[in-house]
Amino acid sequence: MDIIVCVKQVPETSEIGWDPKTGTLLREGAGGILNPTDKNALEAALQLREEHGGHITALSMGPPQAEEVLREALSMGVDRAVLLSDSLLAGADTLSTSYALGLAVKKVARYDLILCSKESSDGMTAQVGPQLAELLNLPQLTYATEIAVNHNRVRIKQRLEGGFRILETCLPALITVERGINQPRIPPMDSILETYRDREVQVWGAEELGGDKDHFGLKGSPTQARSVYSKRVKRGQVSILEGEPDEVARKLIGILRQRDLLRGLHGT
Amino acid sequence: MAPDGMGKYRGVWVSIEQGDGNPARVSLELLGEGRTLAEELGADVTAILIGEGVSAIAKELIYYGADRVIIADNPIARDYRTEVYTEIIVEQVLKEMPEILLIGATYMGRDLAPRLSARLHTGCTADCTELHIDKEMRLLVATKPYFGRNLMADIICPFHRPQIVTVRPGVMELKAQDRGRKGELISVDVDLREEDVKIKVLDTVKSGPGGVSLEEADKVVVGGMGVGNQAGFEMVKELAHLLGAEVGTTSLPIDEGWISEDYKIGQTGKTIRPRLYIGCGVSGAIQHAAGMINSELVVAINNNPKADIFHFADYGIIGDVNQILPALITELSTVDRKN
Amino acid sequence: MDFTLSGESKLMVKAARDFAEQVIEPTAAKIEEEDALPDDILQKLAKARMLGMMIPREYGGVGSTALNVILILEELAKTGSAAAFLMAFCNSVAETIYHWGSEDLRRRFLPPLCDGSSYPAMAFTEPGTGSDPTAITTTALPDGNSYILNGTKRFITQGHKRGFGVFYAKDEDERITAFMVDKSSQGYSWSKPWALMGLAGQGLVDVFLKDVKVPKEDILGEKGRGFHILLRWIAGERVQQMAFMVGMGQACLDESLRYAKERMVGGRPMTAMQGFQWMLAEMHTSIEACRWWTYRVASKQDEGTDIQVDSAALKLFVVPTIQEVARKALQIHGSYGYCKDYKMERLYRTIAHAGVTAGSTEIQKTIVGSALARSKGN
Repeated sequence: MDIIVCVKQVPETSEIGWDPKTGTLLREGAGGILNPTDKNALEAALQLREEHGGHITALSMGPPQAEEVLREALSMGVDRAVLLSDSLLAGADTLSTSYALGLAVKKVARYDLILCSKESSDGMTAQVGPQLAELLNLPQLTYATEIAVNHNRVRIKQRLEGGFRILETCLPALITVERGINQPRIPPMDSILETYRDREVQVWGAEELGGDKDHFGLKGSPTQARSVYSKRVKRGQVSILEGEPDEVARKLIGILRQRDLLRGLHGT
Repeated sequence: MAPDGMGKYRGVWVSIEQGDGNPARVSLELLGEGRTLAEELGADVTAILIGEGVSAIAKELIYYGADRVIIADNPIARDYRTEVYTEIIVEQVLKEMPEILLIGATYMGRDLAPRLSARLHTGCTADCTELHIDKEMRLLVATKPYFGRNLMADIICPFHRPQIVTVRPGVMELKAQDRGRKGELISVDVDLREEDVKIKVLDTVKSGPGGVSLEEADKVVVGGMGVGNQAGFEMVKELAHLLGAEVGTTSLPIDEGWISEDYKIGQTGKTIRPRLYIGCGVSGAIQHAAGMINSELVVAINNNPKADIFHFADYGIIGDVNQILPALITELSTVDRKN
Repeated sequence: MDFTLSGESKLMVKAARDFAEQVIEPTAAKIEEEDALPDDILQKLAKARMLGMMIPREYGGVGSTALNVILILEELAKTGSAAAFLMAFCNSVAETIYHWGSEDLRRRFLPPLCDGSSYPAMAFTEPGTGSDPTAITTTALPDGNSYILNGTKRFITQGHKRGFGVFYAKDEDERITAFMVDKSSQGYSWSKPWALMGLAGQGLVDVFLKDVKVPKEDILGEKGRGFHILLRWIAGERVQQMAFMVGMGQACLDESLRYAKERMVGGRPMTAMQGFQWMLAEMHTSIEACRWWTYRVASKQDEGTDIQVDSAALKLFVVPTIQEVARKALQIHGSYGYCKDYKMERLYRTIAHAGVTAGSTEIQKTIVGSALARSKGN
């Protein structure tokens, strides 16, 4: 069973700059990590391969430094890693990103399953998975906390508000995974060494992808940030309660009692 | 003047989520917001209602602000499935050409909205905290917290229609219904066959009606990074328990593994409107503030007097959460015993 | 000179960090309480392929560098746990066997050290001597095709856990020879582990050798050249010990920063006060210097240079420097640092070991000083 896992390099902290002209994040040069939930997606793929055999390709779109996260994927055990990198691809919104990823998936060609994280820790839109599924005309199974494959059918436990559903569809399909679905394996040291010594990350640019260049990057993004600004929420004047902990505690409880906020106290 | 070619798109649509014979609260909130946007645009609000045996809901949608309700009532739509809802909505959208489509950012909504945007090749903006109309450009401006501390972004979708946005439950106020409102009900056929629908729903399980949902909580105690560790969160829970309050958190404690993401409050979590909010070791950065700013009474405990939260708290305690919480717990336990 | 870590080193550090957080930290309290390392720690280290890092792949190793071992060790050492030391120890003993061993010894003894089936040992110290090599009293007398070993060894790490170790004894020529000894041999017994100030689970035992028979082929290196084997091993061990110190020093700083940011004094967090800022600055500066010098000596080790003097000078600098970092960290924590509930308490106790074990700082001074005295000058 062949699997493609889409991964992303995200900023490590929120201390990252943005371009005031385009409103896009300045990813290049800023430190990056593998999006945490992508590790879960990779682990899910590796577990499926252990059970069913097959081939796993890790795929990412990003600046050249994003190669690091693909090396991490290789060291976890995927068979192949492909980076889509080209200045033409930069500044893409989720739809434009999905378009480029879709072209890459078609180029990889052989796949039964595409796995993505539910969302990346920077944008947190959770849009690329479903958009990619649509562009590839695949059924999408989102928010998976469990995955089981049986012959040509795949079943997931889908997390919802206050509960879950069991969904099933036929392969090929696209699944987005929840963070708690598994505990990602720690790449062993020899695997890490091999990644840098013996293995290669393929890099594809706009030329290799083909497609319509007008759909790439900022140009191909239906949405754009018109402005990015600092906003502090402000609301009236705060009253600071002073004193030792037991004193402020008393003061606060007194205020709450006065405002009738102590009703519904445990035991009353 | 709308951007080139966009002028012929008119109307604000709201995709309605429903379950157990009732519309989801977020859909009603969005009808109210849709109404406001439509008034500025001089346009109509259309609700699109999909399901099986749901026609009875349509009237209520009109009371909450819809001028028209498109009803696709069919057994094939009994359970939400991406393909079914996508097919139906796309067919109607292509026919009627709305300029805006609002969808509640629930699990299902976030499954549906991007799929629609890809099929319609249009923009989708997730988890917006505010919506306005740029009248001059006839554009929807969607505001949301941006990556980074205290940054906001205004997102627009100038050259594609409909402009799709998702909004989390509780972000928009639920406006009062007007039972005198009249509207048009339009039933449409659903031309799908079950054998063409690839996804099957084998089971649906609702976890028990345990506790109040955060969005409806009357009082909430929130722990942030300042709580320091898992043991600290036990104290937060203890305080909440004594107050008869729910527990919430910001995103970093979830990353640290101290508490699950079910409790997240903020732009990418839940939005709350309690009578009482107590923030323990919460800095008050916009990503979280966006989710609790409508709390009636805000109390903040933080040892950094410069923390953002003190800009919008009503009462502040500058101190170490690990000292204040035990003091509050002790004080409340005494009050308890007196009662 | 390029001071950036290679991509592979960075990824190894990341993996080590995850290992420390997911495998070691959760068991730290249990290790402390029981004063023993659970056996699965060695298995997990083996599975993570952190053992035999410097051994070629053909013997079951990873084929990496001393520097990478140091980088991983520094990361694991932030837990302050003996589990970190176990990783380092397996690597250094394996490397010694690889360097001096015959093909036969390599094939027999390296794979078990790489796959977690054997706990190593390096047995030199005796009740009567630690610093004076000529004073060991364990004897190894020839008997047909074997040697018979008699004597007592003290403070032998993992001397009681399954596997084998390198034991130093005086042969019939009164010269120190290194022997590969199977711990399950007849006549091999041990005391219960010494209770230490820190490093719970380190497993230091006395080993009693009573007529333990060792085949002649199991001499490591050349007969009579054991002392050189030991010295070379100790030099590498020093660098590892210093990486351990650096990791713990960093943990002291991290704990202190966390504490000082939250702890209020006079209405402000401690970090707002210049006195504490200065202390933190000194701690950071110290750790950085120790860290980079440690990396430098490890790199020299990879170049094949003799690091006898370099490693001694390194230890001479790092030990008091990091101990001072720990002292400052304790001060910053105030009374809380003295409480067993706080990680600081354990770090402080553990850091105390480095000035006296595996060569005291005084010995390091002698090594460096006498080398300088002998040298022809710059």
